Amino acid sequence: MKISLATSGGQAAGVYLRKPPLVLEVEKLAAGERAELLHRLDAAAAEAKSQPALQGRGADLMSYTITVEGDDRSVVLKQSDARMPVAFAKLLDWLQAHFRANK
Amino acid sequence: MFKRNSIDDKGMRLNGYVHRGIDFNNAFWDGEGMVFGDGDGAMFTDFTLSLDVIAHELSHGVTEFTANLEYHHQSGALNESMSDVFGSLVKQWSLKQTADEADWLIGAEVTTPAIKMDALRSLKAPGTAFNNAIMGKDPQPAHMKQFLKLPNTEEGDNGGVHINSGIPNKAFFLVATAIGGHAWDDAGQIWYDSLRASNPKTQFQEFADTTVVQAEKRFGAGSMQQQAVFDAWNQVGLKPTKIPSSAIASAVRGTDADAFGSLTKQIAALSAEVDALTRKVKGLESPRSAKKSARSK
Repeated sequence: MKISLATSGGQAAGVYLRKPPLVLEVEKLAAGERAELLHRLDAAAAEAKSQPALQGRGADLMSYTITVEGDDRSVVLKQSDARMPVAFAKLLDWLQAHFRANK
Repeated sequence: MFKRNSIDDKGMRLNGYVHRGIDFNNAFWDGEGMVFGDGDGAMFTDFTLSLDVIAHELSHGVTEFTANLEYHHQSGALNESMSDVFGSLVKQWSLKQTADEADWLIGAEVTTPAIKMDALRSLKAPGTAFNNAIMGKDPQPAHMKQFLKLPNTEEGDNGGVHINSGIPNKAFFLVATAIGGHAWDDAGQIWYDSLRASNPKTQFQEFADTTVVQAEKRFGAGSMQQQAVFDAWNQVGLKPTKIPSSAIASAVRGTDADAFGSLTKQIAALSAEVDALTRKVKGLESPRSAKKSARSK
């Protein structure tokens, strides 16, 4: 299963404009990390079903697209900085910390 | 600076939220207040370290309460440019800098030593704020020839609002440095007047025309300030349709000087013909001609 994170917009929009998504392969994670990630992913997916994506009003908002592919699963989760739901924020935090630690 | 009473000109309370999230590499205006992250220490640092970024976010509020420029494509790029312009002016005002002394950079203080980067954006030289292996090259254009057509999606930066803002940014820099002195005095005033005269759908061309008109209103027809505005827009590839009412040819540099010189000559020739016709008509209507005409009847 692959999970990718694409970031766009914000004060550094010029940086993100041509940056490809960051990708991780779930099977390559340690067991504990994998379990934590999938737990957060399931929570964010369930949250997305119960709440439609909120349109943030404002300027310089960044947007985040998390795409899950594989294992008969295809999910796309998308949110922006303003009014970000809790479970999505926790999933995003985990992914960003993972990518920072594994440059 | 412009005698405006807070964002809404009615003394509105300013809300700023800091330390947003964890390692948050951004600052934004959420429609009610400003939000700032601390950065991750690698890509960016604390966004409140940059006065122009703080003022940039505040200026989004001012734009919302004035022209309310729609946040996509050209109107959105103007929205972003307004924030960069006024953001830079606030920094310049706090440092008592002239236009020549200013660095014209946005977010120079949020960069880190880990990445070779001057700033988020440069009004003086759009497209040069950064160029490194991690971030790539600053994609901002400085001229309409390099205008980037991007989709109105988050991935396309809403039609390139942070990208194509480089063009009006450069125009403002050119106006400010051509006039000289403190950029907030004349250039900033023209831009503020023009913001208030704009509307949610204002595009680059309309805004350019508005600045020429506002410069005339505030400083007079054919003033040095108006000519600086006209010249600046021409330099970034936008030809204002509101031409300064005097010294047309001398207000333009480069390849267009011949075209406008020729136009000036044509206008002068037409004016001479109109004068000649006017004299003829007056001659036909003189008392002597009227008597002659009556006798012939």
